[in-house]
Amino acid sequence: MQHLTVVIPVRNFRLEQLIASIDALLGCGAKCIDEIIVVDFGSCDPVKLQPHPKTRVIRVEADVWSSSEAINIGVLSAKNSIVAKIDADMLVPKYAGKRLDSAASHLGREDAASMFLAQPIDLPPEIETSEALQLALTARDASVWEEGHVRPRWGEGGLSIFSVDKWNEIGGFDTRFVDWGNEDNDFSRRIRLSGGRVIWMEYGTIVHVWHSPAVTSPDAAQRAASNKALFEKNKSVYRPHRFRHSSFISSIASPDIMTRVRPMVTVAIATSERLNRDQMIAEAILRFQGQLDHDFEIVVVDNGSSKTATKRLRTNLNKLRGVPQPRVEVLESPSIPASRNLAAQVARGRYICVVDDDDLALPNRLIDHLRPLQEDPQAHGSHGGWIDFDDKTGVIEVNQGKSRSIETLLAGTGKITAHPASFYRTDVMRAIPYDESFELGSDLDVAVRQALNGIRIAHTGSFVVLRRFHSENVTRTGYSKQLSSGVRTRSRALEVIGATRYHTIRDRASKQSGLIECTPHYSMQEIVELMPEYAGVWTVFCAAEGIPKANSPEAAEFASKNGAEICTLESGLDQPLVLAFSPVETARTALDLQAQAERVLETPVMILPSDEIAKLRKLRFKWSQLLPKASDRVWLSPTYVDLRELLSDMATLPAEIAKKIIVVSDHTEENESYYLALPHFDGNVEHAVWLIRRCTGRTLTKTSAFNIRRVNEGEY
Amino acid sequence: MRLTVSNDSEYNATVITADVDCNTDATPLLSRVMVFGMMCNNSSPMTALAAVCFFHRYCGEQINFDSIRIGANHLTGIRHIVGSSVNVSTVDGRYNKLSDKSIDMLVCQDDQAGRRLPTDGANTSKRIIWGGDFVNSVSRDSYGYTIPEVYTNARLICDDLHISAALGLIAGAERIRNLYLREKAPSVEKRNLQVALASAGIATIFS
Repeated sequence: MQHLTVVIPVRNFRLEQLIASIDALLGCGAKCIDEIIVVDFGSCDPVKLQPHPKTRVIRVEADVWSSSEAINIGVLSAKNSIVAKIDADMLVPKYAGKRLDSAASHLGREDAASMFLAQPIDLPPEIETSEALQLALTARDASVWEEGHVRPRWGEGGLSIFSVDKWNEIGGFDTRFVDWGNEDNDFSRRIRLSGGRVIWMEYGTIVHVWHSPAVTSPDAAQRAASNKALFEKNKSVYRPHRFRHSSFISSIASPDIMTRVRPMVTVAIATSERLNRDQMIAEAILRFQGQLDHDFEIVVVDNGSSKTATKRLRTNLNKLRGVPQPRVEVLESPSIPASRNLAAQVARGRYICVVDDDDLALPNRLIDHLRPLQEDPQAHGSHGGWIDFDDKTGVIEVNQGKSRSIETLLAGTGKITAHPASFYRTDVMRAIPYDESFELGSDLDVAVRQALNGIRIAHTGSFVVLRRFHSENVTRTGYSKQLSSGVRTRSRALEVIGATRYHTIRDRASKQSGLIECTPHYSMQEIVELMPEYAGVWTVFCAAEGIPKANSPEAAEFASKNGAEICTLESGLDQPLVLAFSPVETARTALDLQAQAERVLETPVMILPSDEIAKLRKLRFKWSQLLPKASDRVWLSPTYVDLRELLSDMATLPAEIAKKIIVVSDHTEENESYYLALPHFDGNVEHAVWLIRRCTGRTLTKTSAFNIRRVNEGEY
Repeated sequence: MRLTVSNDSEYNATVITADVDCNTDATPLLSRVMVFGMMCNNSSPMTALAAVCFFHRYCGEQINFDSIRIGANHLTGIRHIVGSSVNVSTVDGRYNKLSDKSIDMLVCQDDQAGRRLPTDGANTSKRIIWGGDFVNSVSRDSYGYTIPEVYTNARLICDDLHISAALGLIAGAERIRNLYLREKAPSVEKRNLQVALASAGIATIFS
């Protein structure tokens, strides 16, 4: 026999009706019922019942009535794994007892994901509670309720039966619903969205006894409207467990009660022993401080590290304050995919937030990942934009990301997504695990396999992470392995669709490969402030002209002390002059210098990575020398939207190739794009093209200079 | 549940979409099943039966097919898979077309592909080898995986037995005489499936 706990939430409700409801439950013959919990949610007169071995009252203090919270308290206190929630004005007739047994048995043995609902029959006011109870205790079938009216099937839960596991999975009843109304519709909809069916019980399983409205607060109508709006607007499946309105957590619950409910998110970090690991991982974790009201857990999987290093990691993580205590799992052999799979297996959160041990989450990260899932309940996760920064030089690259589909991933249009900017449903990560046969590159592989299997990852429309580049980055140390993994990933996915269909893939990709706008836009200043204070080498500068205090002795002394010089930031024609100070190490020092300079000079002062300025100065080009002869053959790169990206690529080229490269720009009404072009020269052109591809990852295609002229027509 | 069957000719794939349209339907993890390497007859009642096989765990109390007409026999079959209380639209009581029993089919996954398809020599026979995600869910790696002729994402929402049956129905449509299946499954599910396909004129043989 599958046992069942019945939960009855009440606040300032007529005791006579509550007792009738309990008497009907005890008298209906349902063998499954072995516990009835009445949750008294701050009634003015506390509920007092005659002692009964199956019945108990949980009293909590609360100023605001929240049926949702009362039910959650009951479920959390239940001793059985199947729970029936029934309203205090409902009666279960005698003939329906076996239906409860059958429903409990179905949920316990066959299908714990689903829920049972019953349509109430509304009795007319003429039938009083005592008479209705008498009929319920003796009725043989539903024909005795011929004077009643059955309610339509919306999803309302006068009586709902569900498993505690399912309740826990979706986050229970949403306690943002106050009073009552729509919280039950919302709960049943989320059960269905999470893969459970709603099974309607037979006609006449419960009857509703008429009563005058129990809650008559002046703002009841406003609350009902607010509940309705919440139901219509928020379509997300998983919600956080919150006890917003009552004294349950502070006074009733045992200290570990919240360990029974699942957190919203598991922050999953795979790590292995390397230089500065403990410091970087601590920084990575502390970036989640204050996010999502700490409704997350942190799982760190240490793989392939020495026992000493693991012990040191545990000790250091135990010292962290202000975030949930990280849980450390250990894998003896080094494997990033196995670590991530282990994290998914042990995760208790409904979502997994992928975090690298050296990256820094932006303050909005978790909430931004959840936002698109509220609008589209069928999305399986989200990814966002990411900002790369170099730990040593401070050079920054901003990446918005693109639509993540099988076409864009296979066509390899570049900068589509970053694994540490991703967020997935936990069940998806368990269903499509990382391929442990990959040493590196399992992140791209899992993204491609997700897309191939129809998993939808939405974009947050925001930046979510600062991705750190440093000497120990696997992106740097294992670059060639990642490239070969990428080839393997793409080739087998392509084989499924059919290699001959690559043109279709490319065509579809070209329609989806636009950059997704991320807001808010971060200025250089804001990014520097978000970076670790010890990172980078920076140049602080301001416009050379129009400095109010330029000639003051204080300014002269300050400029001299900090090695200021008048120069340009970039080479080329008509560059504006700036007053630049000597490069300084660490972001903290640069920000301090900037603040001092602003105070002394009384003018806006800016910051740029010194390395980037050096690059801009090193690269020379003149627009007047751009165009090759119309008869020439040239090799042309794919489009660059960002000129800095192009310049950065040029800086990676050997000098003899860089000299031969020219820059072509294409202006349209809306924006500007750039190309690297390599004109024909005497020598090994093919080798030069190969070198460019190796250094920049861009494949140049052969074209006629005539086409370039057309691109530039009307430009000057 | 509204079930729609279509073909993506550019990818040579069958696409079956499930849209929740009543308050008893569950939402599957995937609302779109793709079968790469196989196009379907999207007006055949056998395809409707295949769609129900894929989404049977999620169908509530009613099923609507877009543009597929089915007969009473197929309705019986669907009810054996989903449950007797389900209502199905687009049923034409005068539509009695069943299988013409012209081919035998074996549907299996790669590791079972070496087995021979029993035939009596008089009928043509066909074998479908299918696979899903590259990564083995137990070992969590892709060692030994070979790309199958038919690839489907259906494993995320459906058991192997019903996937095999559905792929057989899509590939063979109204021509199947015997459908050979080799998946392990509870006997109740096997029996229900056997009766369901028998209602449409197909003998299911488990081996």
